Amino acid sequence: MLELYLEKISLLYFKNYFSTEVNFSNQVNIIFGNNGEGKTNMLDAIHYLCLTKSFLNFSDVQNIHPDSNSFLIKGVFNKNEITNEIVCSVEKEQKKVIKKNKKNYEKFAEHIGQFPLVVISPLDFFLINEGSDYRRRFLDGMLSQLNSNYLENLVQYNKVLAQRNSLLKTKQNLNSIEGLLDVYDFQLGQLGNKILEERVKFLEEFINLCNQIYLVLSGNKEIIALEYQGSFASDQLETELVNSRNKDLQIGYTTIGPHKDDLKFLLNNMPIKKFASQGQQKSFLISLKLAQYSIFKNHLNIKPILLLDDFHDKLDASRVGRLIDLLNPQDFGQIFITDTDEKKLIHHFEGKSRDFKLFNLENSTVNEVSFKTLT
Amino acid sequence: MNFPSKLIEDAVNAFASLPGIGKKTALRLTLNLLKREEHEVNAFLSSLQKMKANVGYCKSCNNISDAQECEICTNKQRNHQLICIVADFRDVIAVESTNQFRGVYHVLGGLISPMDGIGPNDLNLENLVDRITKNEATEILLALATTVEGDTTNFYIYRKLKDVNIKISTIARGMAVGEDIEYTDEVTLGRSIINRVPFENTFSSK
Ligand SMILES: [Zn+2]
Repeated sequence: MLELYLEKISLLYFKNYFSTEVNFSNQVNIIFGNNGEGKTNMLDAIHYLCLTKSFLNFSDVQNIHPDSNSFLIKGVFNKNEITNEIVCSVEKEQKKVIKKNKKNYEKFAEHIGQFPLVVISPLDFFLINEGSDYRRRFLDGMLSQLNSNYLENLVQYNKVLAQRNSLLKTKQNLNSIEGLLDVYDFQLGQLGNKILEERVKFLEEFINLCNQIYLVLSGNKEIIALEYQGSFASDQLETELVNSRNKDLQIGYTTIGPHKDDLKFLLNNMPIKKFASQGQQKSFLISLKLAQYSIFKNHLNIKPILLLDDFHDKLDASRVGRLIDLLNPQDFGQIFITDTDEKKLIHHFEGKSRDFKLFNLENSTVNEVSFKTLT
Repeated sequence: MNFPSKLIEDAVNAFASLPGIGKKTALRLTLNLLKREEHEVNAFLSSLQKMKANVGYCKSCNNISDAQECEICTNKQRNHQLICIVADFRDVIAVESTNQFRGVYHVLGGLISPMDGIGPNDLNLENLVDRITKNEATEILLALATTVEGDTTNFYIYRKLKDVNIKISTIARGMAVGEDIEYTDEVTLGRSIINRVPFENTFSSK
């Protein structure tokens, strides 16, 4: 198993930070401070270094400090005893630049997967509450990081789909566009069948892991399920697209295919969105993310970096305790945690033999504080 | 940019309307022409006017041509039974510069892309079957860009020709033409023309 951790980060004009440099523990890092001090922004900076973008749905330019025209994030990673310097810089009206060891990437896709990372944050609730595109993006995001072929097929599929939809929007009669639809339906069929096959194969392993983790978090009380809701039968996309041409032409877009499929989340056989408490929903979301962690670890042979934003969000004390037990150093590498209440959090780590550092965030400055001064 | 002369400003704007020419370059070109002899400038302008008035398209292959039929189509030394399908005349230049192709061309004038308002009827496809018959062609070589639009156009032509008894081949995959032309060196492109593969092989194994 390869070791991976972020030794050091420097921020320049990123969000609320002027200029900051922080040295991290290779195990647990706890960042506390009041809301609005920028705890989450520190995690977002780490996300930039690993995955080239924000996880908070902010555009790059929105992350520039109001006094500046650019920001710079520099991180020193240790990957299996080899030091890698990653720099991400954004300047207004310029293209974003990502460098590894002073060398520019031409394609950011080449960077993704080298420094794997998993985030648990209150934003995860979008997966339950929002439309199917959030759930597809989560699934596709995991598969893309594990399998570059999948990403390539997905990109191709979306390009062909956009062309088919443009053709449908012209509202010409079916006879005059049938020849071209034959080609698009063939192309989408080939790509779409493969995408479905990969998703189904991946979910088998993923769902199992989710269940195991949820059982631990809930104290063996409840059973969850994830059901793939396909819009077409496996290996039948081309035929089904041909059959739905009339309907598609009327509506003006393609109504079946992997871009229309969804994931259904169930707790004790009932839809989670309606029938689960917020604590149960949060535990479910943590299970999804920790299952993602586990799959990345197994497939990439590396312990990803784990970000836990707003640790106590919606969790009661017993679930927090079980989560801390799950996050043991045998299974996890470097972890970053933010919370408003350091006392509550430290209490959980007391007596557990693992290295951790505490950081206090006040007035946009980060100060390492010693454990003793707090107890 | 402020100009002391409206005449110079007009000339600068004319140059700057060309792709890839900014205001600074446009000014440099304008001042260069201003310094030249009048007859030189006249010759320069008349070459452009003649080009615009007289360049046409070859009635056989749709390549850019000064005459009704282009020099490639009228060349008896070339193999008229082998037809290479390309998107536009820049691809003809690229394939010609490899010196590895002795057949003739069929220039589509673009690729199928409904997003850009280009359907099959907007391309030079109508007379392809007639041309195959007339030339007694034995092989079609598809040399389109390796983009989704290139793929779609390949498949469209492949299906259009499914009842025609002809060999359909394509340049080796991973070989870039079209959009990527400036990144493609002649040797690689030439090699991929020699090593062309039957089109069916490129998707049945996918
Ligand atoms: Zn010609």
